[in-house]
Amino acid sequence: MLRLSTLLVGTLMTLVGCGSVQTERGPAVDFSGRWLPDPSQAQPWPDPLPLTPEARARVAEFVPEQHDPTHFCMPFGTPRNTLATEFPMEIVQTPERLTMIFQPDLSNAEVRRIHLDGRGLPAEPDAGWFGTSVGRWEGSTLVIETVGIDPDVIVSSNGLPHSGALRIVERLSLVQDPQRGRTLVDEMTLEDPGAYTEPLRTRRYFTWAPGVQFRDSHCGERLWIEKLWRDRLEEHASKARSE
Amino acid sequence: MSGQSPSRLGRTLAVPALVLIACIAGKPACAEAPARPDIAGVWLPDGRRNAGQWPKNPPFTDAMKRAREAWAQKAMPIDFEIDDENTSCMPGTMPGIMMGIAQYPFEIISTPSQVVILTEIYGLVRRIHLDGRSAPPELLPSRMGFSTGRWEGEALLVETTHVQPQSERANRPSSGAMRIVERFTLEPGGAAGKALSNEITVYDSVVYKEPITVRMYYKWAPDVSVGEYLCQQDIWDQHMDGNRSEIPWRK
Amino acid sequence: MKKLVAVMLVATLIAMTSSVRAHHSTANFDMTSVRTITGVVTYFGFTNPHSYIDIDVVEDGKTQQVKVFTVAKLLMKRYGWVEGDCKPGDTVTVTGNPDRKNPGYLYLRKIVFASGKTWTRDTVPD
Repeated sequence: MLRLSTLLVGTLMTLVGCGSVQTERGPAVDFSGRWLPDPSQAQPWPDPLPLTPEARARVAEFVPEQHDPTHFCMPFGTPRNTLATEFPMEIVQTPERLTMIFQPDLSNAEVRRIHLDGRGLPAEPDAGWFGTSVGRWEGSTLVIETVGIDPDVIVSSNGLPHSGALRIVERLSLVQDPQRGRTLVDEMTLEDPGAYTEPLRTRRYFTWAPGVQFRDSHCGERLWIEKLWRDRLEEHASKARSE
Repeated sequence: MSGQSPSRLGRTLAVPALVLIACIAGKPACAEAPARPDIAGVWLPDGRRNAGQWPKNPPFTDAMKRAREAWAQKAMPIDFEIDDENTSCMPGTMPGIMMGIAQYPFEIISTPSQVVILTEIYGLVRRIHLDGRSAPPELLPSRMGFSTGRWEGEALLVETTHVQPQSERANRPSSGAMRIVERFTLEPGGAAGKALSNEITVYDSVVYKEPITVRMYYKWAPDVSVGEYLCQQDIWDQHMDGNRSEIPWRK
Repeated sequence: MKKLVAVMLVATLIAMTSSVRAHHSTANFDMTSVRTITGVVTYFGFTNPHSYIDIDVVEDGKTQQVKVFTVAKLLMKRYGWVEGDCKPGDTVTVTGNPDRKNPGYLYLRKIVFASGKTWTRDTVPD
């Protein structure tokens, strides 16, 4: 016959035992799943933007067809992929790594890798299009720091630039929105004294969307189709000449 | 609990102590899932072991043979600098994607609901659903196809359908009916400490008279990180540099 | 006869495409022959999916431009090529496989940088 105290002690020990094992192996919060950005809640950038003279000049000279990398099948890159509102994001999370996968329409998938294994940011990061990111837990908020972003990456489709020394801090958390349901919030701060006279802050929202489809696509199709058209036109032209 | 005799204390603690020991030992008492072979991590295709696996004379159906001969008559010799869709950054399709380009690693992320494969070359994303879902009825074919999998003992079994067909002009033609089965198992030992083996069987009765099976090997590469392979970076870089030099292989 | 030609053409098609190969075929280079040149770098495109070097080579008092094609920047950096190893103005020696049609176009096998450091294509696994 089990005494109540036995049951209570037993349950407590089991919970503590299981709980401590779980916390060691499992995440504080699991962001895994498919998400759709919610443009209606996206906090806009300040107007006017607090830009340095160099950044202001770059914005003034910005011509999308010349300076937007996505016109050349280059990525949106970080943080533009995370700030974009047109395409879905999938998060695959394990205890050591949070992986964000973006699928722009008619273009290549983009992958951000955030290390959760306690490593620090590199002192001299390589410049890449998706950045080097590490994350640490603050309770149920994941704080992500990102450095090492190629200066060719533009932050917005209007040509908001960065100097190459951009440092991004994101605070990810889950909330339950009364209307929209399960929601991922990303509070993002961009620090770049070479481009911004003060940090830029924004808050972005993603709605849980388990049914959203990721349509595998490749920007190279454009090059290939253009090449086919070019060859076809040349074929017709040379045929016409010989007739 | 003061005042309890040692034997009563012992009984009080015995059962939860056993459960606690079981938990710490990782047994199903509070583990999320039974232990699986750990296929997560970065892998490099083993060029030496993988070379020449695909049959030199695949068992094409008579119709496919005739179609290929007709194309070869019309199109050969092919100038691969011009007529190779890879030069336009078109990645291959399944199963070619898993038939390794030796220099480029891929990464496997393993979670209870899916296994995700991220390749370095072309930055491809393969999702292998482990949650028993079926392909949505409106699903269009794609280069990756639609993959479902299940663990069976030490092996991950994967089935892939809905792969974009490739015509008789392709290196490996395929019809919309193609079905690919993969069997991933770990192989201990070897120069890298462990290897991942993938037995791939292609079923496509429109193209082949009988199924084709190849065995691919991938070497464990824990010191390698999957990098950013941006297939049109050379065009972008030339553009940003004022087009100062002709990219020799882009025609 | 036509049937035999067709079979041979198909065999060539298969032979050229069914091996595990780099995403871009290097079938245009003659892997059985090598050419070594020394000259001054005029341009270095350090990029993906292929890097390339323009080298001015002086031969018999005439300057000709040789274009050298290599693997992806991503691979080069992973296997020992460091930013700054090769830059315009450097004198380098390149050994490579020539293009079947154009001997002024080489697939890099080995390079000796201005610093004396060498890098070979062999360091990239195959």
